[in-house]
Amino acid sequence: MYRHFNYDSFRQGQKEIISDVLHGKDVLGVLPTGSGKSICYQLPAKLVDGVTIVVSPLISLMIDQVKELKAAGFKDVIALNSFLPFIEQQRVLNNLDSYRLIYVSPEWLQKRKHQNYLKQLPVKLFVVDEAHCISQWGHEFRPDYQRLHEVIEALNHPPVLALSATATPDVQADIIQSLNKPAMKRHIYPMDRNNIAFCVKEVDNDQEKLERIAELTKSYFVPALIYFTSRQTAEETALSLSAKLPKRNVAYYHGGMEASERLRIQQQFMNNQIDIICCTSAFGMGINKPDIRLVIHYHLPLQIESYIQEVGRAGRDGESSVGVILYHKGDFRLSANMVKNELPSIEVIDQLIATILTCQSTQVDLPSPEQLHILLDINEGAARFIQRQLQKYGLIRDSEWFIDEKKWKYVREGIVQYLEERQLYKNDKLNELYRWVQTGKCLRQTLYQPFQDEFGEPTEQCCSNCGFDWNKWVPEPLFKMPEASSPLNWRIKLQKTLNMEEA
Amino acid sequence: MLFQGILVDCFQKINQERTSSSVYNLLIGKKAIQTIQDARFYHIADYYGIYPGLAKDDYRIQLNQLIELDYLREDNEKKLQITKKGRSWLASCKTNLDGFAGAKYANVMETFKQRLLLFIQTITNTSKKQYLFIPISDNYEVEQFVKGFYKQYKQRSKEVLHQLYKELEKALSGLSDLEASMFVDRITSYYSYGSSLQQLSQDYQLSIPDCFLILQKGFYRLLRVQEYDNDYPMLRLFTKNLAISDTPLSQTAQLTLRLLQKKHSFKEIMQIRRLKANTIQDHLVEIAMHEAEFPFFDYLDSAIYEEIKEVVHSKQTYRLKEIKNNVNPDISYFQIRLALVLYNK
Repeated sequence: MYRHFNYDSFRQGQKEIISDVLHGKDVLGVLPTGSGKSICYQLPAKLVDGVTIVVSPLISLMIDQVKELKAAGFKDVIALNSFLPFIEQQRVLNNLDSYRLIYVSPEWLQKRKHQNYLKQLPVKLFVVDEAHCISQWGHEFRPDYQRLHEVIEALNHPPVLALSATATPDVQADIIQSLNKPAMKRHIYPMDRNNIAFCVKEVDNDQEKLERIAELTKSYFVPALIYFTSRQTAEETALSLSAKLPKRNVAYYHGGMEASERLRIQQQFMNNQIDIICCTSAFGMGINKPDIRLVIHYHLPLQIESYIQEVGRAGRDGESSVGVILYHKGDFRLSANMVKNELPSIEVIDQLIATILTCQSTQVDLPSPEQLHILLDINEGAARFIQRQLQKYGLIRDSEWFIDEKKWKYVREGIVQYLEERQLYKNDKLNELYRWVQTGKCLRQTLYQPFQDEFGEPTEQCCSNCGFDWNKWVPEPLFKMPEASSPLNWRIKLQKTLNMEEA
Repeated sequence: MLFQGILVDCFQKINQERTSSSVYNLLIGKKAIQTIQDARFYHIADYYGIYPGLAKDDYRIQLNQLIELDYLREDNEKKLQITKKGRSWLASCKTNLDGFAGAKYANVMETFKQRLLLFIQTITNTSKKQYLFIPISDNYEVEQFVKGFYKQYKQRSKEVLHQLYKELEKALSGLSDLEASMFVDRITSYYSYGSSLQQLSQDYQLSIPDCFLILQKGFYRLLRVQEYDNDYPMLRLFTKNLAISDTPLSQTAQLTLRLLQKKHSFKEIMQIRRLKANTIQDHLVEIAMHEAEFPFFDYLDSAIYEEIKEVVHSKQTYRLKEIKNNVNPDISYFQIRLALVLYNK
């Protein structure tokens, strides 16, 4: 472990999982966020004589991980996904046997041609990361995950390792069933993080949220994340915070920014050049900053699992940290609206089909199914939903439309029903989250209850319902170097930049 | 301000003869023959390709602001013209607009930039014995170059850093302190990740496009000094194997040129390449612009050339349509375009 990753000990669960994996067993591992899940396959990938394939749902996360591994000296690793430029992909596919660890997106994996490339390799471990995506009852259901068992079969059943940080017992059962591995060994660890205290604060309006955040960040000089569901609010808040806090370095981060600019912000945060980041859920995946002390939610996510993931970025070093939730009465409606827009309405689908039928009858060129969002004004998630449903019923095949009026009439009812089911499910998840926020009982217990029966003692304070007192929270402040900031000093800055301060 | 100045300058120079999207194409460095031709004819080649990532929407927003400020006005044909107010505003910020050399370094800029920045990140880290860091560029070619370069110099990192400092300091001294300071802030080195554009925009209270363009200006300056001055041996190394030329011939035009050099006729070239006459004509215009020697008078005789020249003078225009309407109807668009290339040589 030390030799490969510079860690001198295993964390809870790692050793058990790795040892089973090395013995060729199929394993389901559920470990809390921030506990070093990825080591569970990265170390075996180094040790086994053969190739490890990792299915990962988020392309940006996958790319970050590859960058980090390369930076840590693990060079024979690659990420394969549909964003790889064609020539680059060809170069990689022709040299596929020179890699030890291969990350793939589930979409990429569905292509027969791609599977054939993988079949040539001595695959010794097949990893399903974020395995809760398999389950319809997981909060990030990805239909492509449900076909992974076919890929595993095509690869002649290498040992399978499924990993998740947020899997209730129902979801765990779903994962095992869908992968078709009933004998899977389960390693389930409690998710509660005993060094994070929870603090819910109801306010009257957004202005008050901002004031509260300014107060907190003024009195605590520690690395902090502030979560938003809107990119615009994240940007605006970052700007007004940096005006209010001249001594702090505040930045924003969201999925709408260019990749290289995002990387700059991430790395500056790692280096403590920035200490407060206003971000959307796009931030944090794969970020391994150990000393984040405050995770504030200006907006709540849409389900408990996401909240657990986001707040779990605090205190990975085990030191005392706090998760703060600021909310007001109007927030629920905002969230409910977002839930609604995540799925298309049946009217929108009807309209799409009508457009397609008209185009076909008048022989107008149609955009490909991947681009159906051009035909309609809907968000990406909703477009993906429609695509999957039409695929499921064979109305889209191999990126071509196969639609006529009769077929549509035949499948419409099924889609309506499924839509209603999903909508209900998502509403339930949202209600569950808001019930939690408003509970009078212990926040820690209520939060983790769906996942486990027993709880560890908090290392310091518990939560605002158990008498959390800010005066008793005294984290160690960041050490900061004063910076020469006048443009006139650029020569001095340049000397520093080029390591010439000694000269 | 800088970005708006450049826009107003462009619209003044094209003098309502071209649309606003032609200026957009110029700024992003579109490789179309029309854009390259525009850059030359209207003397705006220095702006060619200086803003590759410019989004069309952002461009529109800026134009609308300029219209609102009454620096630009839309004429009946929806073309933009500079106003009196715009003219005097432009005169007041004129000096700021110098320092770009877009067309000249179009093929070199991006690679040069990435090589230099990645090398600085690499050498500052390794000279502090830090071998693990996340590279700012993951372009394969650039990575390979820096790897090779690094191998060659890693034993002498102190010396290399010293020389780099000397050259950068000298080169950046030719810019304003603000421009130099922004340039330095953008550099990523040992445990110090360079500022993002948003951060520069906050720190210097300038718009994001202005920050971007000021950085570009810095890189153009480096490219220029290493080419013309012998005091920059280190910077010159970063242009290795990059062909500095005015927007090179497109691949397809190169093939046509080769056939031309083998003395194939126009008809034969069409047949061999299985392309339409129009396309081959485009190639010929492109070749005429690039090659020092082009047989212009195989395609137009001197009487035709004089006639076209006359119209350009009397009408004060480069607009193809207007010229066409004022010359003998037998003269083709192709001939007019060639004549204009010759006229500008």
